[in-house]
Amino acid sequence: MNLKKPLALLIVLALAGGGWALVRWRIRATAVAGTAHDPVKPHQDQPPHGGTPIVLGDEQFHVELVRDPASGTLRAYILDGEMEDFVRISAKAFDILVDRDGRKETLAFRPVADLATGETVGDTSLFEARADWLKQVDHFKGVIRILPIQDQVFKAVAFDFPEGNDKD
Amino acid sequence: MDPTPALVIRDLFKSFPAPSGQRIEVLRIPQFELGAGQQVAIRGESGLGKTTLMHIIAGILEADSGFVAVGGTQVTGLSEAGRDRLRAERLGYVFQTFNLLQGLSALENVMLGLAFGRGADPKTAMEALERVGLAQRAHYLPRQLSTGQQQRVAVARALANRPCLILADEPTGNLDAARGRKIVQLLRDSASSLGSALLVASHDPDVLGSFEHVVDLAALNQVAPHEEEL
Amino acid sequence: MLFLLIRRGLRQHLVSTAVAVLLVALGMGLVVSVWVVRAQAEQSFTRSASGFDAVLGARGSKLQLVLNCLFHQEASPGNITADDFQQVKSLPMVDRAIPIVVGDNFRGVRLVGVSDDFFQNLEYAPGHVYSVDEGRPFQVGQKEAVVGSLAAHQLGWSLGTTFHPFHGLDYNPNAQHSEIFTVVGVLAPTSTPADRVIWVPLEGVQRLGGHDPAAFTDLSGVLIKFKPGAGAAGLMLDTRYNRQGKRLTLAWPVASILADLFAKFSWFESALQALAYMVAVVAGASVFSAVYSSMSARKRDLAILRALGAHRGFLIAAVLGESAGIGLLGCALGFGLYAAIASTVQEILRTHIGVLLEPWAWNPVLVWGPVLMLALSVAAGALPAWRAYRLSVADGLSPLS
Repeated sequence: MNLKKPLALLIVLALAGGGWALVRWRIRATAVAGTAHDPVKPHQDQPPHGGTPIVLGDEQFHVELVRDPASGTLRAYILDGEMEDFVRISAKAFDILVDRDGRKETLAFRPVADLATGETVGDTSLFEARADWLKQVDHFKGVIRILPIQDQVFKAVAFDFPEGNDKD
Repeated sequence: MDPTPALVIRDLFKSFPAPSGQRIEVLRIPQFELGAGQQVAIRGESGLGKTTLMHIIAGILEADSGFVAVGGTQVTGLSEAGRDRLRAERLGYVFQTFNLLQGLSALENVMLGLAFGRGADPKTAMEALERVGLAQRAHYLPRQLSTGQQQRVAVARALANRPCLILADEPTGNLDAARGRKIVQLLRDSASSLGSALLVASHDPDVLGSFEHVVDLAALNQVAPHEEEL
Repeated sequence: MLFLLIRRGLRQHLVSTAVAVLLVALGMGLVVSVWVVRAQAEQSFTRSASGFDAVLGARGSKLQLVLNCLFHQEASPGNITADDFQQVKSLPMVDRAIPIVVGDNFRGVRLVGVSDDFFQNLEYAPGHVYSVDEGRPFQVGQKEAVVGSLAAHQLGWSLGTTFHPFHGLDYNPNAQHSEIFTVVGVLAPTSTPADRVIWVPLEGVQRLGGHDPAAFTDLSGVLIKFKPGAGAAGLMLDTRYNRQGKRLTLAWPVASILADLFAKFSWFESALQALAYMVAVVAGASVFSAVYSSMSARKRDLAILRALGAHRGFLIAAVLGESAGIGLLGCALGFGLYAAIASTVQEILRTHIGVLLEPWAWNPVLVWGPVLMLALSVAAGALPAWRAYRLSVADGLSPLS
């Protein structure tokens, strides 16, 4: 039985098949390599400034508190449930009642306008409070008294700083 | 002269498988010897096994059984590498159809006769070409040579490695009578000058007539003549 | 003798040998070209933009901002104000902030308005600063221009050349401005897109006749370089401008945005790779065909060689040597083909984008490409070599009928 022709055909098919397998492997490798990692893609459920997250309600919103000891300011960013988007609100101000080792204080947060972000008073996600004791004190207990966000009002939200209030 | 015989054959047996599966006996030679430097012609018509015998002596085919020795070296039972080496170093072979490589020049074809033994040496190859009177055509390709010249190149190739035994299978088969006689004379003279034994297989009366010693294959071979189904 | 036989064997079947060599060359040339051009193009684009960390511009596509402000392609997504520029310039983590304004051209060559500190030790690559090769930088408030080296060559300009700009990013002969500018300097070559544009003072573009006076201080974008060690600067500003803000866009990091651009075209790259590999496979098949038919035609020659004392290994070496010979010749020619492809692409990118390719910079494919084709060629000789190994000498010597 003459096996030469079938064997020759087999060799050619093997070369073609091997070549096709090589092609498919390289296409897959390129597709994987081509998926560029976006370094700015936010992690889920992590506050964008690395500050203290405070959960509002059933995780409908968050407040992120960021302390700047140099200037004695505490910034509050209003964020959505996943802490990915900033939520602009029309609130004129809100207070946080502070208990620092038995000593009571009140921090008054005022809205901040920012040319860079286009936020204005009455349409901003950023509030700021200032106090000299914030330059030295880095932990306290706080309660957000009343904070209206869109059609909801959040009252008496207790938290620890810098731990936050997330039970999970 | 070295007294070792150039060729010794004892109880040589060779058969081939037929398409039917049976084996066809081709050669059964009880004894044959060729002395050192001896020149013998074997007479036999086509299909009687001359080529088979030549191929067995050269180690190209293996015998079923028996003893063959060339220049004191046993061929039967030798490994394939050993038989390759024997052909390269101790044998010269002249084919009926010249069997030159068409892509190589005359000189390069002669160098092939040395390449697998002592090494392809252009100087030695040129000397072989000079011996056959074709030095001036060293760089010609076979297609640029006449049939007689091509066979002379084949002779030069067979002589180049100074073999102890030269085999020539129907060396004049493709030549006219005049050129055939010249080739046979060239073979005989060259073998004589080198001290090589010469064994020529032919059915040509002109060839056979130029040898003192002629052996009939039919007398040598105990197998009855029949068609070789090869 | 082996090399002589291989050479003569290749020559004896010249047509099939030549076809196989050409296909191997094409296969290798394509494989190497696709790999190197892609890698080099991405590296060159990234290198061209390596002098700046980010670009600030109007709300829109980050890629469009990078292409407009760094590669001088596309239109800007909008304008930003001088206040936006001042605010970002004053940020503590910002080292350099260079304002850019576009909107005019000369016969298709873009005019780019920039502040004069562009020529003050501003690095476009580590250790390399923008500088004027001939003449001097322009003076603020004057109708003067510093032309990029490539643009100067294309336009045939030299010091003292005067010109009227044309309005718009695309050349329209009916939109000529009445103002006349004078070339006072030629930028030293940077191998970046900066070489292909005409640099003028900011006001040179902003205050041309016919431009909106209300937008006299508007900018197309700001090129930003962070201070060394300001590791989190980009992330902070990205959060502020892109997530917290809705008015502006910060294109950061530039390298990642460019990588995304190339990733978008990965399908095209895959298609080219597939084509290159298929050609390589076809080349392997043609080597097989050439050597197989050559061996079939030279069965008698191989039998003669065996009859003369050549061992089987010699025949295998002769056959594989022929297929390797085709592979080597093809690879040598393939480098020539690659050089032709690469130099064509190089010229196109240089002329249209200003980015410089380095086709002979080290890339592993320059080694594994030819090795692959050589291995494929040798493998293609395997079956013919096996046939030669199995050759019956007696059959091969049979007289031709």
